Amino acid sequence: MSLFGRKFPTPIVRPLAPFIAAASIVWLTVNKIENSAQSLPPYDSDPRNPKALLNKQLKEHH
Amino acid sequence: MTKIIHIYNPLEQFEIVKFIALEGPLFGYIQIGLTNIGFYLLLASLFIILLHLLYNKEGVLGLSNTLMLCMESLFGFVLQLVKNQVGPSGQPYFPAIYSLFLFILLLNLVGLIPYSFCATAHFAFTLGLSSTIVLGVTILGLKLHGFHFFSLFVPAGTPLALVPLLTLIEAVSYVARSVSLGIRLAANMLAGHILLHLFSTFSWKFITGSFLGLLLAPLPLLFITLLYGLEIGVAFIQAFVFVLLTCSYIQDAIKLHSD
Repeated sequence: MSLFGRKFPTPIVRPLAPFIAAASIVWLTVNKIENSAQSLPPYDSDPRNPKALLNKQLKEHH
Repeated sequence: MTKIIHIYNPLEQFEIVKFIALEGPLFGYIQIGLTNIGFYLLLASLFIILLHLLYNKEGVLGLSNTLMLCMESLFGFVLQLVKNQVGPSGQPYFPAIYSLFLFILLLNLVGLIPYSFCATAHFAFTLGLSSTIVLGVTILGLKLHGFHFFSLFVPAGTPLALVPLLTLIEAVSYVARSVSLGIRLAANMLAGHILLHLFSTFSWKFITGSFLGLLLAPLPLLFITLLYGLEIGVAFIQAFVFVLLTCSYIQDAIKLHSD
C-alpha cells in the first residue's frame, strides 16, 4: 500500500474495514442523537445549545 | 477573623471551549467548529504522523539516537504485545494498535503539561473510541465466523441447563465491554487531574498562607512531585491497558474460544 509517497508492505485498509464501518455507525448514531436532542425541551432553549436561537425563531414563527 | 480561601473549580480545566465556530442556515443548519478537544486531537495526530515520517531522517529534525531508540523500543513493545495476545493471525492489526497506543499515550502525556487540556479525561471521546472498537471487533467476528460468532456467548463445557442463563450473562458482559473500556481510561485520567489540581491549590494556599507554611514548603512540593510521577506512570499504564484489552477483544473475535 502506498501512503505519503512511500510504499508499506502491510495491508492497512482491508484488515481495518470492520473498524472503519464501526466508526461510521457510531458517528452516524451519535450525530442523529445529537441533532434530535438539540431540538427537544429542555435543551432546545439552553444557552449552550448552538441551535437555541434557531429553535426560538422557529417557535415564534409557529 | 475569618479568612476566605478562594479555590477554583477543579473541573474547570475540562471545560470545552470553542476556538473557531462557523454556523449558519446552510444545508439545514450547518455547524463547523474547532474546540479545544478537537485541537488537541488534531495536534496529537499530526505530531505522531510527522514524527514517524521524519524520524529516520536525522538531518531534518536533528533527532538524537536516544529518541530513535525510544521510538523503536515502543514499536517493539507493541509488536511483542500483539504477538503474545493475538498471535500470528493478529499481525495485520498491528499498525492500528500501534497508532492507538501512541495516540492515547500522547494525549495522556500532553494532558499532564500544566495549562494544557486532557482529551482522554472526556467520556465523550473515550466512550466513542471504545464503542467503535467493540463494534468493529463484533463486525470482524461476524465477517470471519458468520453466526457461529455467537458461540462466544456460550463458554465451553457449560451444562445444557445453564446455557440460557450464561448466554444472557455473557451477552451483557460483552456489551458492557464498550462502556468499561472507555470509562476506565477517562475515569483514571479525570481522577488524576482533579487530585493534582486539588493538591496544587492546597499547597499554594499552605505555602503562601503563613511563615510556617513557607518553612515547610518542600514537603507539599515533594508530595506533588511524587504525585506527578505517579500520574506519568498512570498515563503509560492506561494506554497499555487500553491496547491490551483491544488485543484481547480482537483475539476473542478471531479465535472465539481460543481452542
